[in-house]
Amino acid sequence: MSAPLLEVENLRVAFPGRDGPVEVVKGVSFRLGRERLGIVGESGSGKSLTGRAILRLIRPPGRVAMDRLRFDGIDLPALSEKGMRAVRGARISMVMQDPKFSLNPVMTVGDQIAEALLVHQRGRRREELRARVIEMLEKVRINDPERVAGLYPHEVSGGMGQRVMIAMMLIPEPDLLIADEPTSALDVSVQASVMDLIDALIRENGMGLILISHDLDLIARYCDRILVMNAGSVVEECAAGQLDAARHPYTRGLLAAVPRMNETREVLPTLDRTVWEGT
Amino acid sequence: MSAILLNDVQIGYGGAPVVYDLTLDVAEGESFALVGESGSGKSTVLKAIAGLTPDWQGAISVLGAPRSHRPDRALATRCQMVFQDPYGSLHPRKTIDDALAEPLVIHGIGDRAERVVAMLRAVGLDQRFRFRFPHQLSGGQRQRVAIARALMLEPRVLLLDEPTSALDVSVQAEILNLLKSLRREQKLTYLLVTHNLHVVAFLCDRLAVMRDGRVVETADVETLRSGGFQHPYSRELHALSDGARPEAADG
Repeated sequence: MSAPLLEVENLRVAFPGRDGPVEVVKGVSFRLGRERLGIVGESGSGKSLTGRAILRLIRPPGRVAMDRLRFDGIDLPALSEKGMRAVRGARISMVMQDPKFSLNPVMTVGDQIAEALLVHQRGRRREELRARVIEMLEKVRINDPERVAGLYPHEVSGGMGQRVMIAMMLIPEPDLLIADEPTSALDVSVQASVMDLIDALIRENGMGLILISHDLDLIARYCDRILVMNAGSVVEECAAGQLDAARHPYTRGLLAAVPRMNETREVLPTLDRTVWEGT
Repeated sequence: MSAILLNDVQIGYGGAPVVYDLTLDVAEGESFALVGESGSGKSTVLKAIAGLTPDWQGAISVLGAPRSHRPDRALATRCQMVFQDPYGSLHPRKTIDDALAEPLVIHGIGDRAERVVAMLRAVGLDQRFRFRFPHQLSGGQRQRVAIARALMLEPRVLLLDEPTSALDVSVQAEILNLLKSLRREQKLTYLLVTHNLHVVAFLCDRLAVMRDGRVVETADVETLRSGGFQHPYSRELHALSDGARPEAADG
């Protein structure tokens, strides 16, 4: 692995509960180079919080603690909020699940993409800005970018909305992209094209990717390495190709629970969740 | 008798038609799937049957009773709908008990407490959830509540709109198992809308592939399992879903 882009050591996230703080991320550690890392797990496994904690997006009353969180040599926890804003978006950006809720409904698509750039790099001329936006929309394979730039989010389809989000996240040319369920809200046919797009852009720009998803197939296809999370801990780490040989009972359970196309099982095996989680 | 019969149905929103010339016959006890992508009109069909889109022409009947264009109380006792998003379909300020008892109140049915308790058990929810609010439940638990709510009036037909697509795989497996066993125990008829062909393979007997408001192909589940579709679009959909499997992609 190349010099790590991101080092996370013993990351913990806790929220206050009735009986004292409840730890939802329990000491997650990993290193990431300019590679594609998948974090797979189910709701409540802490995978999304791990992603958000890296960007310091967890607000009180949530509490984050870690032994180390370094990004490209920068000690993230030591940064001021202002310093963090310079990293967030510009150097590490995040694609969220649903374009419907993540785009500003009263701003045109083009203005939103331009805003993403303006926030991080001031003093650009209008024409230059517009040209960059159009170029970016072309990169995310939107036909007729001139027209789409003038549309509002409700006027574009889900797949197009997600492309717009990706354009917005990639226009400041970040080093690391955290994609949290980027295709879960999309149709199967669109899913593949959006993931192929993210994949191509990641390779082209030599970026690191953290792909967070509950979808084992998706992660296995688009990542080099996989972390399987359950109940706040990493239970298994493996190369993407070796997912079928996974050993941990949780991972095996997950694999078995997916219905297949030639499904003949009368009952799908389910996980005995009482072993892993309370209520 | 047909559980759901649609004859030459056209459905629109504000004059713009989104489903054309739809004819569908779902037998009683059958589990039938409508598959297709967003915008293919599959959910609109369910809404028209449930009475949520009054703007349709043609003939719709449920268990032999023709559906009118107005709210239909009698239909509600025989045909209920489960929505995709358990986060959006439960009233956030009502306890699970309230949500489950409400259909009983509306239809003037007694023994509410007993029925709620029994239904929670039937969908595999612990009794301690009864007086909780939706936000205190996980997604899978909420979807169980949504299914329980739909079953409170003991309907014979369930309209399922992407019932598991908002859920995790292992939770999806639980809900699919639940739907399968409920269907067996209560002799239910399902009309399921989904984009997930794997779910269809597990849960359904027949399916219709929809595109741009029309059914392009109707097939049985064996055709789905073997991938022997006739229409190029069905084949494409099948290939896309199957291509997403790593074992198929990597050989």
